[in-house]
Amino acid sequence: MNLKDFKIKTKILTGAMLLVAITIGFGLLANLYIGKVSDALFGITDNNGKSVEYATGVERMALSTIMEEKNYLLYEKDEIHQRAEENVKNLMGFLDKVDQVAKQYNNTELLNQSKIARDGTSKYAEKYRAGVAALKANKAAVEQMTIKGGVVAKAADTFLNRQVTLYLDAMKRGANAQELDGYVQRYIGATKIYVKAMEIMRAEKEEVNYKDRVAWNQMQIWLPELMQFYNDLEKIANSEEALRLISEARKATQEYQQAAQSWIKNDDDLKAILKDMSELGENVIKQAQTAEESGYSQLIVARSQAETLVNEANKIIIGTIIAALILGIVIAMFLANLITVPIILGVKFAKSLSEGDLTAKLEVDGKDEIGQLAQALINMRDQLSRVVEQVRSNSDTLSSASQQVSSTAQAMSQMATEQASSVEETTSSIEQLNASVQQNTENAHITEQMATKSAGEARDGGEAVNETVSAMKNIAKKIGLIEDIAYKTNLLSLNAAIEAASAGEHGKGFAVVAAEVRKLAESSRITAEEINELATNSVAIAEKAGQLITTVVPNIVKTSDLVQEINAASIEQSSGINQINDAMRQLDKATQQNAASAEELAATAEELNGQAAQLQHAVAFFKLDANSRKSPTSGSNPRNTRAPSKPAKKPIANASVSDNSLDFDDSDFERF
Amino acid sequence: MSKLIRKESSHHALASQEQVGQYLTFLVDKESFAISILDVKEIIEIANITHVPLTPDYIHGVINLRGNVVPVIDLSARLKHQCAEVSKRSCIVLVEVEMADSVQLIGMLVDEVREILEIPPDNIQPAPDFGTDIRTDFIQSMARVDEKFIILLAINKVLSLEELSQLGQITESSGSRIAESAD
Repeated sequence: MNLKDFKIKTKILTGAMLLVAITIGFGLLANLYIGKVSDALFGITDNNGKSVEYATGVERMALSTIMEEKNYLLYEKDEIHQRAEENVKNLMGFLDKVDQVAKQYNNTELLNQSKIARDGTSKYAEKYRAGVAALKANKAAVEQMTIKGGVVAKAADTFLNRQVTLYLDAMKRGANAQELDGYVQRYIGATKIYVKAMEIMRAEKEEVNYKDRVAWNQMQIWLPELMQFYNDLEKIANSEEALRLISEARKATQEYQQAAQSWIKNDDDLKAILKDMSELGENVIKQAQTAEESGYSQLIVARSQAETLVNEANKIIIGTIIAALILGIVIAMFLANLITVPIILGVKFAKSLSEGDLTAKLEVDGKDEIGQLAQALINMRDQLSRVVEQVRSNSDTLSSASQQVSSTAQAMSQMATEQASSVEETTSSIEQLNASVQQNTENAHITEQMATKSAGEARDGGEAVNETVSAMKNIAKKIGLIEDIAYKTNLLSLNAAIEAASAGEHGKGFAVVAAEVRKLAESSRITAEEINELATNSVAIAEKAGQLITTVVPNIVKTSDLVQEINAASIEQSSGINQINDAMRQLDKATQQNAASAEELAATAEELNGQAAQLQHAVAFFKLDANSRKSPTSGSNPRNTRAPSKPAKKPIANASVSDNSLDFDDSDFERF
Repeated sequence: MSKLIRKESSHHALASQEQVGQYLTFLVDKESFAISILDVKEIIEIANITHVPLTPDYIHGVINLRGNVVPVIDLSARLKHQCAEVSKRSCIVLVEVEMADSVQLIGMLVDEVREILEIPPDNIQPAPDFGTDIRTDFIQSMARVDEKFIILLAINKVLSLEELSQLGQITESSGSRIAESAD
């Protein structure tokens, strides 16, 4: 596969991946060396540092132990002994840690040293314990010796006292000189023994205190002498009791001697042990110091190793950086060349396109993005050629259409002017109509007032009729009273007639009067009845009138309402006509504006004409390939459906071409 | 009316010649009846009538006439078996009825009194056997007035003997009281 066929993305990615791979290699190398350096550093801190630390600890503990031992020898206290034991334990603990470190880092030398130190320490500890035991035995032996010495001294004292007593008794008895002399001799012998025993005691105390064996040597001399004194005294002893005392004293002295000897021996042992102990202690310290020193020397060695490692790492890292730099530059240059060369070609092609040369050629092979771009540019050139061609033909037709628009606009302007005049006429007649409607409104208003008044009056009339009715009823009642009076008069007249009749002939005249009265009463009754009838009739008529008025009143009120509605309708009509008037005025204005706009349209059409000419001029800027005008290079363009069926006309404004004007879609123009 | 007056004046002229009788006409249930004026004592307006219990329908009650108890017969009930409706025009005609040995004052309730007519004897005819809706024994005679007949009632028959006896009982008790009060 050709390298040019790869996509730019792939190319750049490949280069970047190469650089990344180099970087990763470099990183891994660096990491390796950093690991080594860090191992070395950890070795220094963990192994050598700790060895030194523990060796120091061992030394410290050893010194401390020795110090405690000295203290013990000085004070002979058990707690000090305990402290010393704890120190030994601590020391062993440090040694254990040293062993751990040594095993961890495989330090055989350190391990050996530790072992030696451990042996030395345990030996030292043994010696120390033995020394303590010897010291205690020594103390016991001294006590024993002192007790025995006490016994000897006592025996000597007792014997001496006895001799003194015996001598004094002999003096009192008045014994002879020979006998007295014997007492004196024995007394002297006892005294010698006593003195010698005291001297030996003193020497013993000196020896215990100084332990330099000078007093002991003296005691070695003095003890046989004491024995000799015992023998001497035995020779001059005169009693069994004295002999017994002497032998007891001798025995005590012998025991004392033995005790002293055993103590001396013990003391000698102790000295030897102490000497060994101090040697061993020094040994331990020495070994600890040796371990320390070896630790320090190890530190130095480790440091130099780490330095070497760091230097090596630095060299390799710098080398890698240089290699990556060179490789990166090479890859970048390669990629840049691969991308820029075809782009420069594309740029040249685009420049020639921008200068209007649609005949320019571009040859770029390859299927990457730049190849696609080049292909797109070529397509663009082809499409542009077609568009320019179409624009040329369309600008021709545009020119002719604009002329037609101009003439139409002029006609429109004239029509608009005529319209404006007719609208003015309409407006004036509507104003007349308005005046008459207003008159109508006023009349309706007056009528409404009158109707309202009539309604009120009709209502008043109704009330008057009602009053009349009640008055009539009153009259009828009064007439009823008159009727009653007439009836009563009649009754009276009848009674009078009856009386007259009962009077017989004498009452005849009275009967005539009574008959006349009765007649009057009758006639007045009849009249009253007539009047009553009339009044009743009047009441009926008045009631009817009242009813009629009652039915009339709502009609009148309704009439009044209707007249009011008519009035309102007239007012609405008036306002409506006013609105129509306004509308007409606006229409007038609009018509005038229309006229002006039509004139403007005409001017615009003229300008459009000029613009079409300019367009033709502008399109002439593009150079067209003769072949491309006839046949499109690539597949059919979907937007090319309205391509003119005829070959393009000459780019001259041709007003006579009426067919082209029909090609314009109405939607291309804004409607006014 | 002037015609009526003239007519009556002519009757009056006749009566002077041939013992013209005077009659009081009255209406009972819209029918005209008449009685001789000589039987009538007085005509009074309807006043406080005291209704008497346990009496027949036609005994309307009793009135106090100047301290005397006077029984009142409802003529409508008596003649037509229809109780009278008392109106403003209703009157009581007081008549004297001869009893066994005394004269009893009785009131008749009528709907309206009309007038006093002078009827000549020529115009009076005996009662027919039948032809009216009242018992003929109540009718004394029929009087022709202006081409129209008016019944002249026989008062003694109208108030029959039994009734009169009843009335007598009422009036006796009351009469004794009256007598006591008079003493």
